[in-house]
Amino acid sequence: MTEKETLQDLVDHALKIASTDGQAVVQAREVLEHQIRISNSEIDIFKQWKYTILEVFVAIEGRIGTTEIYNPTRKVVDSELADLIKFVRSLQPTPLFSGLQENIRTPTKVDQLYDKRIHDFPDRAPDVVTAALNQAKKAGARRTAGSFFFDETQNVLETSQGFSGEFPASSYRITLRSFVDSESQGQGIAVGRMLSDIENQITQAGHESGEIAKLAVGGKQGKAGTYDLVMHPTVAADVLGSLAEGANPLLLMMGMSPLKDKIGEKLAPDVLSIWDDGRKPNGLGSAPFDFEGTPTQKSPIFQQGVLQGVVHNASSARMAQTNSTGNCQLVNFGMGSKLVIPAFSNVVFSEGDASFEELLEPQRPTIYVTSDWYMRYTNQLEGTFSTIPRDGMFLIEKGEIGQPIQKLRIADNLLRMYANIEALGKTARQVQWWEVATPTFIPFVRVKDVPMTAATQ
Amino acid sequence: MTFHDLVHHGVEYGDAQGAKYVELRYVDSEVDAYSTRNGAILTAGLTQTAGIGIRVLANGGIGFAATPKLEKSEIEKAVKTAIQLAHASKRKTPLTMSEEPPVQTKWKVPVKTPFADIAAEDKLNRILETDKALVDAFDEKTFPYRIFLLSLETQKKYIATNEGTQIETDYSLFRYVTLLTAQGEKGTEQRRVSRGTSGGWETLDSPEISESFIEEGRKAKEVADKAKAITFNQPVDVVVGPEVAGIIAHENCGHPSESDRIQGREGVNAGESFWMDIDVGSARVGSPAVTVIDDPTLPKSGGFYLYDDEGVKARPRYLIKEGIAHEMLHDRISAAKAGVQSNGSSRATNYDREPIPRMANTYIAPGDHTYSEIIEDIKLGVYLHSFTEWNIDDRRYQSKYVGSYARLIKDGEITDTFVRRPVLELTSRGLFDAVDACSKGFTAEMAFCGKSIPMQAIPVWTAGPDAMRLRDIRLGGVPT
Repeated sequence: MTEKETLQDLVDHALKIASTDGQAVVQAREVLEHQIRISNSEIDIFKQWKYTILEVFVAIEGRIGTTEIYNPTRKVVDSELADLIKFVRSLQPTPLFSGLQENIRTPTKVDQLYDKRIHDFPDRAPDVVTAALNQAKKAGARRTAGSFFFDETQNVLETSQGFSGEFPASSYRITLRSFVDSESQGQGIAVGRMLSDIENQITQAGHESGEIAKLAVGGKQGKAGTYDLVMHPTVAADVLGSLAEGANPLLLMMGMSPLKDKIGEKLAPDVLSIWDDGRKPNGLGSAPFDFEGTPTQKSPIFQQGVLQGVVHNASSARMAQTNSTGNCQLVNFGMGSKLVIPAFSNVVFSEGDASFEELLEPQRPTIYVTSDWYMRYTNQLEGTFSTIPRDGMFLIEKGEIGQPIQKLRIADNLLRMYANIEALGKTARQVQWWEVATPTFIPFVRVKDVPMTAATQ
Repeated sequence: MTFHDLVHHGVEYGDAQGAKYVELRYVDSEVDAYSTRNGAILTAGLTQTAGIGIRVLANGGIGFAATPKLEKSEIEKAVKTAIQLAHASKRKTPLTMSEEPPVQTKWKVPVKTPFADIAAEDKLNRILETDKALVDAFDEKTFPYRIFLLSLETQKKYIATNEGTQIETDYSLFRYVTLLTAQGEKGTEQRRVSRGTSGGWETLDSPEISESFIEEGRKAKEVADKAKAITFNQPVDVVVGPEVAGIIAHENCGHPSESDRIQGREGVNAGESFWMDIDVGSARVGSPAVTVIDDPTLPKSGGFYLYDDEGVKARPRYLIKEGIAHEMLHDRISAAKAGVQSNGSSRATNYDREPIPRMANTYIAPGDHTYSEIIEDIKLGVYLHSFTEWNIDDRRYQSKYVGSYARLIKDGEITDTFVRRPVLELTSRGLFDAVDACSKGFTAEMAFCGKSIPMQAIPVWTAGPDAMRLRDIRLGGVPT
């Protein structure tokens, strides 16, 4: 019996038990993942995780619950699912679950999910990292820190409603951060699923981090005020992606999105369109089907600035009297439990027609922000927030990157920022890193009249 | 084989393979968790994880492998992999670890009633009763969005090294959180309130926690009804309560004192520290009124432990002593780089995460003043009981705290005027320099501190005195 057959057997067995008294989903993942962590231009630690996990969702007469089973065997599955079923029976029904996807369709293949070369990559990985560090140094870095993940996963999913599917996937995610001195830094990231261009992608990330760090040398305290911002895709994904992901029925029901009652409203200029695309080639969030077995699709969220709709799973779609968009996911909620809810796969922004140079053309006082972190809300219903630029930040002078500046904070409202989008760059990049959890394809973006604040003392 | 036998076998196997340091950490964790929205269950879950994390030092590099397969052959494979990965690191500068005495001991969190002895429906009812009490005290329209989360975790841990350390731990902790949106005459106010202690169900089985959630709900409603933007044209005195003092202790002092940040190891994501540019031990980073302590040994605390995940005995760490940067938080690797001993700060969230320097319970030390003494000589000021938005740069120097429940202080009294979202946007130095007095008292908040990659959200307390006074503060932010 092959390892795959063993996994399939376990999934079959688990589903049979889990669905005895109701509906159930069993999702199995067989994972081999590595990470290399880097600081001061050397590898600090090289890690490996190898495990099999079954994630099980059970619904009995409207009562729901989840569990995770690591290193599953038949004996462990029997024991843990008995516990789960007893647990679920003791709970109360939830009004938010109305049943799994009943309309079972056969999903079609999604391109560029798996590259078999990932299997031999661990042996090459330290040399790839070294090449990227050398490139960062060549571009001006004195030292570089980084995190490099790469993994391969065999995914199997079965539901009590008759869906059965599987697919292999691979991915890599690297963030490199270069320093010339303790206050002059730059970041580069590279993520994807296919390894055909991985050396080039990672070396480019090293180069970008070193180049930005070098340009950031001599940064002065920025002056608080209102500026136009040219946002690197890394920043745009964090800030503008946050509002897009608010097009989620659960977040709306929890008071955690400013998009309540705004479907059909024009919230941004014509240049902005946004999709959830679960089938984006090379997308880290791509898959042929969702957690209920619904085939994934490309769904419009914003069209020419107008909010079109939200992502759905089967339950939320029934409440809204529409169809699932193939966005059912099993999402961590709090510590120790998971929600079966609609969630974005890949957030995909439209590309514009502005070159980077055109985005920098002087109109009003303008700042170029290359990275940010720590986005926090004062009020999520309002969309009032702030976030802190980090790494290189620059005044735009005569249409070019000018004086490096530091220590400013973006403090605005997401709805106002969407309304103030002026232009999008020509080429979207895929962004996913510590600050941006959902893979987001987004170009450079120019937003006008953004308040920037600074410490008062 | 028992987990003791597996761990010992892995240690011996790694030692025989030539690794300089071999550490195996077995963790068996059980979590049950419940959440509700507006009085109806959202979800519930059971999560059990058990496995062994293996960390080795070989050829000057660190390798790490984690496996949930608790079999002799799988442990051998994982140890071998960890050693191979350490060699593959090809470090030019070999890593070392500080010399520490090996320890053989057991410690546990005192528990009277294990979580497992309480029925799931009783646990769920606990949060449904709190939600109902909140609605009964006001009405549904006052709080249109009410989220509650209860998480109960128990852990069995066993650590052994080839230096002779063998430590067994039994641990138990609850976390109880609410996210409330209050609707008032002037808009909405959102509040996140977090409670938690180490211990068993008995620590949760009192009305105090539910009452505190209802009290914080009442305060949010008052803010939504009454708060108005006030522009101050001059610096004012600011008095912060323990919730705000606690987050300041954590963000402006605890994180900067982490040695791995100072040495650059967290540079890629969590960031570095402004403490890397000062002389820790002699540099002034605040007024003499500021002492910040991180103490894992506080009984019942959220960040409680007696030995860290490298087997080093825990003790209180004076991070800032009377305004002087006094001590970093060290693990054995950072301590060796700094040429000092570890102070027992190494923590990992589970078997599949590496231990790194972390905070435990970080607090601003109480002073000698009474609460009324702190307030009585203030001509014009603002009292900040709680905060909403906050953030800080990755060098932990540029911080921002937006007040939630904030009231005007005038002529030595806290008035009934509510100040809408006052902003403390200060450097760490500017903030701590402005502190001139701390009151008696000590109140802690539960928090999960996020750091590192992969993310390790670890339980901590943030705490402070009943009142901490900052003189002559220019409030910041965008005018509203």
